[in-house]
Amino acid sequence: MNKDLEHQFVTELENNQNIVHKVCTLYTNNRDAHNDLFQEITIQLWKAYPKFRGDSKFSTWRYRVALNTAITLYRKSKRSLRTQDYESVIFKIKANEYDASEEAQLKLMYKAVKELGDIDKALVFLYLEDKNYREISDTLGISEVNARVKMNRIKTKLRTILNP
Amino acid sequence: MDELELLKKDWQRKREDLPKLSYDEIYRMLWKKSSSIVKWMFYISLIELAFWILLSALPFFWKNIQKTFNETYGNGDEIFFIVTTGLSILIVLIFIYYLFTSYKAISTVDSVKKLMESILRTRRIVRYYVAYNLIMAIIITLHTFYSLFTHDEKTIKLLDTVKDNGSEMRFWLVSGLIVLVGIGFMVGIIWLFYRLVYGILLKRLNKNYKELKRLEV
Repeated sequence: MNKDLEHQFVTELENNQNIVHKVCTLYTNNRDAHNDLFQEITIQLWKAYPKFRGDSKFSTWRYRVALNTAITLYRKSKRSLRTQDYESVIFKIKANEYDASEEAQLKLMYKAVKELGDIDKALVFLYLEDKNYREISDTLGISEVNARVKMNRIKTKLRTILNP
Repeated sequence: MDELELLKKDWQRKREDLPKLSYDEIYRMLWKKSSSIVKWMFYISLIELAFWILLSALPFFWKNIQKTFNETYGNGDEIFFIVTTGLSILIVLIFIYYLFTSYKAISTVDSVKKLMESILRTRRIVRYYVAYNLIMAIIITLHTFYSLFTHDEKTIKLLDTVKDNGSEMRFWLVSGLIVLVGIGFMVGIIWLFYRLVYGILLKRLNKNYKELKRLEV
């Protein structure tokens, strides 16, 4: 295998690993599963990489590969069945930067998002990443109108989770 | 929604509390084995392929079976045997071709929905192949019974005795029932096995795919 390509890929992923970590935090519940999923996404990204050498669109495809792996390809290992809450570690909210009510609200929001289904999480993820509805619909393979409808439903769902 | 905008702001701002992997750690991951469901499906398909090919090839290696076969059916039925063997080899080849092209078509850079569709399509090809094998097995079983009653001397003699006894009707009912139960049992076992293997593997995918499909209605 081409050494330059390896180096280029690893460097690029090292610099952009946050996107992958964010997907992992959404779709897993403990650190073992997080690392497991990160590894699988890395393998899938690497497999897809030679096709996009020098292609600036790789950043867009990174979202697709990561979400596809998390939603469809990833087999939850036995280890991930152990639900050890580590959200508090990942989504550590700094008290000095927020007032108390905002902090409480954020905590509730993160918890609510994690309770959503796989597809809903993907939509929320892309929304939080500031992707427009065209990109969201392209990534999920649904129409733009349906992406909007779905997002509105998720907002309602989140609202009911937050205010039962 | 205010809360979601608040979340978005927080989501895009904080970075330092996410794990940070080193170059070496990521590099090592490139050489790890994937454990994706596609890979599992691929291995299972290979086992299925090997199983059915071996099962249909067994009589060729088993001299006794071949001898009994010739004795039972006589030479007239050799054509039936050759035709079914040739046909099954052709169908296996076609199946292998479609299976591998559909595996190749599974791409992680497709949209979520398209990826799911290509996985389900691949799965469907395997299912057709299994259905084909089951149907062939049933045809061969029925044909064997038919040949027994028309060619096998012992069975014909037995049939004659039964006829003399006057319990012909009951004889047909009982043997028919045995054949049906036998076939039902075989199909049931295989069906259960597939439900179990693919059910476990594709449960989540099916659920998510249905959700995406539901959006379009």
